[in-house]
Amino acid sequence: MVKFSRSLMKELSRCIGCGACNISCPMFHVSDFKETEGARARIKLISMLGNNKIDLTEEFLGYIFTCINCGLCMDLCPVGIDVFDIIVKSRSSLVDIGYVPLVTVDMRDARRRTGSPIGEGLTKGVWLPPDFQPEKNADILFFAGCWVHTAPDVAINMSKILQKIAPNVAPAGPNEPCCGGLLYVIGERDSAEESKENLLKFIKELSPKVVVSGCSLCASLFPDLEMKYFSSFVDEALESNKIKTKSMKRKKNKIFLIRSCHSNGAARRILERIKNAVVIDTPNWICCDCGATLIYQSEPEKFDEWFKKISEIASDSDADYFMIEEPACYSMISKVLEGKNKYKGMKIISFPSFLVNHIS
Amino acid sequence: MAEEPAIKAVEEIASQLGERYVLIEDLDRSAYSYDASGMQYIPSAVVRPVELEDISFIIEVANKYGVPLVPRGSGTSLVGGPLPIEGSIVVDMQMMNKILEKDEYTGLVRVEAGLRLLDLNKVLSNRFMPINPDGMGFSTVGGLIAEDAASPLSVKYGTTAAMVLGVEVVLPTGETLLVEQPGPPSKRNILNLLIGSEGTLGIFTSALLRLPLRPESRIAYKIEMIDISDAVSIQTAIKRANISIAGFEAYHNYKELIGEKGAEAVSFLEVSGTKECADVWSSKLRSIFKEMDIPFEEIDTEEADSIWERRKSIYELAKRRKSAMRVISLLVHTHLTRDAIQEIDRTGSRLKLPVVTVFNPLLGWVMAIFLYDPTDEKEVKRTEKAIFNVIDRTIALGGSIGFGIGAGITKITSDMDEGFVSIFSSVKEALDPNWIMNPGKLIER
Ligand SMILES: Cc1cc2nc3c(=O)[nH]c(=O)nc-3n(C[C@H](O)[C@H](O)[C@H](O)COP(=O)(O)OP(=O)(O)OC[C@H]3O[C@@H](n4cnc5c(N)ncnc54)[C@H](O)[C@@H]3O)c2cc1C
Ligand code: SF4
Ligand code: SF4
Repeated sequence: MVKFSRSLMKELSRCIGCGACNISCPMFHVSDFKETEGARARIKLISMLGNNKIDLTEEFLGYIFTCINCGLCMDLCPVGIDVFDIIVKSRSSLVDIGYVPLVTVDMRDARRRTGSPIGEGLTKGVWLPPDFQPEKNADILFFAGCWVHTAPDVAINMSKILQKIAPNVAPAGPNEPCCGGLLYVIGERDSAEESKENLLKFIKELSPKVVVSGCSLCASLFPDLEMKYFSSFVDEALESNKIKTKSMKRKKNKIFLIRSCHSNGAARRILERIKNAVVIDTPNWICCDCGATLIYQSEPEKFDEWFKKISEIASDSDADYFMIEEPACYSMISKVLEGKNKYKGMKIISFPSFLVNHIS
Repeated sequence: MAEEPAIKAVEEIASQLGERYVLIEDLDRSAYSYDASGMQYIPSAVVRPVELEDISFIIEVANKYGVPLVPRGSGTSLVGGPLPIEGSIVVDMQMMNKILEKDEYTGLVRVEAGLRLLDLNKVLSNRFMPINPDGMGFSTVGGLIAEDAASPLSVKYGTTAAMVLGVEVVLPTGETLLVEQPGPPSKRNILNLLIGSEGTLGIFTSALLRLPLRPESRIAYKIEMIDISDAVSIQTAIKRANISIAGFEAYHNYKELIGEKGAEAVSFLEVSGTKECADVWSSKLRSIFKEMDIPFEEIDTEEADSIWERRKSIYELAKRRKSAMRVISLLVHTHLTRDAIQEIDRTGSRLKLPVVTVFNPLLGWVMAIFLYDPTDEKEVKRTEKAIFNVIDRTIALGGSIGFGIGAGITKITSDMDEGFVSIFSSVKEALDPNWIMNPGKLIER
């Protein structure tokens, strides 16, 4: 029998069942509005579990732990429930009681073995010289984030853009600790805290002026890390005229942007400054971030479905570019496309790799 | 899992629609066991039709095995309308969401019943008013018609019925009918029997709607009524001055609950039309406010929208008090609006439940929203009692329940409306001899 804390139960029971959280939930849309997949069902079913109205099966456990983890469900709740926060809290309560779903076992083990939930497949800093050591007191410490290391070209381009903003940019390099964000969303509170503390220590030792993160999840989940997310940082640099945008040669380039769910719209603002770039309006549920990695690993068919659906919407809107802001998402999509950089007549490109040619 | 006939029915439906469109797992069935009423009933299965033929087939099978069906839109009903109280099969209409025809010139649109309002509102340009009774645009066209949904702007635009020119419906007999006004509205209007039938007479598959044009000018006011009787006086003054009000909504007890003293009700009024008309009505309104010594302020229409469309203040309240809400909607003669509100107040104080009443004195529409702690069993029981109490008092006042949001599981009884119950029951018996279509709602068998 599962017993959640009184405060969690009370928060769950405040849900009036209006369904507003489904409006921005990617899982709900990708599944053709199947109620089970949406945010409202997650709140309601977790509440039923806490009230002993539903049995905790392995399937149910897996269900609670796997969604895109975008956090968009809290945007419209009329009674101000932070839906995503509640989902994460109930996950950690389940982990505390000892219920760990099979779908997260790999991530937990990988973290224990390698320090990152991605595991052995990940070698950090491959784009840097073998004897690389991060510099102290840099203007910018470039914290790439675990998934960015799986897309070295994106990391290089991010780094190049940052160098245009400040002369002294120091990548964190191969020993960059994991921030613990993914562990946090799968309810591993303690490991997440430990990872975050490690990273905090690492940053302190290097004492940079500012830390820029290539991954939006790390920057948004842990405000105490005081990291700036890459797009927001570039947006601010443009705003204060430290850098400028360069126009695109061809007239009217239609861009379908898959934004980072955890960012504040910076990528869109940046693109809108580029002459001849036309950013297509996308439904608010279209986003991607590294929180989607769990679903990518545990239920690849669901990730494929998600990609299929949004690429259809993009090609229906006559996009020239299918642009992905989040490096993790770019990396996953690249694997689905087996490295092809054209799909349905659209150019598949990561936001930083596009931007590097349009900034001076 | 479900009983034998339901299992057979589900297997047969799955063989036609495909496994993907038939949900039988515990998780899925639980996910279709609630709406926004706070009640819960688990269906024996969920089916997800994508076209008209699927629905005809589902109904045929349901009749064959005597298994009840419940049409469901987005499940935003506040009264349990789409809940499968007899272990029914839920028919999830959300995949039928195509736009079939549209005409920017006349404002006519023909859409499938599962289309959500937020998507309906994008079909035509913003020359047309957005349709948004639930405040979020999440509910579907089918749900809107089945409940004959209303909004604060119903004063000017009427309830949903006013914009529905026709529906395509699959009757419980399996027959598909196109019920459309044959030209300009005539006395022969059978459409209104279907509108507001709460899913008990058939499943709507598509509808022909005329979207209202956006007015050239809108002027909105926020006013504070020191005494609830002011609502009645304002209503009389408005009628006497011949002002055409577009929207009206008042919140009683709201200030008190947020800890501010003073006014008994905060309300919002809107006039709209051509600029000239709106200006004239607006200046007449101001004179009334001044004469009655009612504090008022003009608010921009965006603010009026956000209040009317989102009922934000009530939600804010629930958020502050961390309570759940239980709603009952009533319609009384306009001159009895105050009496209905006082009955609700009495019920609230007797049962020690905070209550906010949302009312529209021009329509006589009163919605009582009881706030309670859902983790406190005694409070839950008291809330239940309060609802029945309010219904009793409303009947005594000659009023009825279910305006806009529907009656749902609470049902209309003979002592509320003898004529309706008698005629509607006969129609139901004739169209749905096996009572397979949403049983246990609107009226008793
Ligand atoms: C926060 C909030 C505020 C609200 N405010 C208002 C308001 O101001 N005014 C108002 O009128 N309502 C209001 N509602 C109630 C609700 O939004 C409406 O009743 C809405 O029209 C229901 O639409 P739905 O698609 O969610 O239908 P559901 O809730 O799924 O179903 C409602 C009823 O319609 C039937 N039905 C659904 N689709 C079909 C179909 N295709 N064919 C036949 N029957 C069908 C169902 O069987 C059920 O009886 C509010 C709800 C919420 C949550
Ligand atoms: S985090 Fe994203 S995918 Fe998960 S329930 Fe919320 S909106 Fe849906
Ligand atoms: S938006 Fe908020 S109240 Fe509405 S269903 Fe989602 S969590 Fe519940």
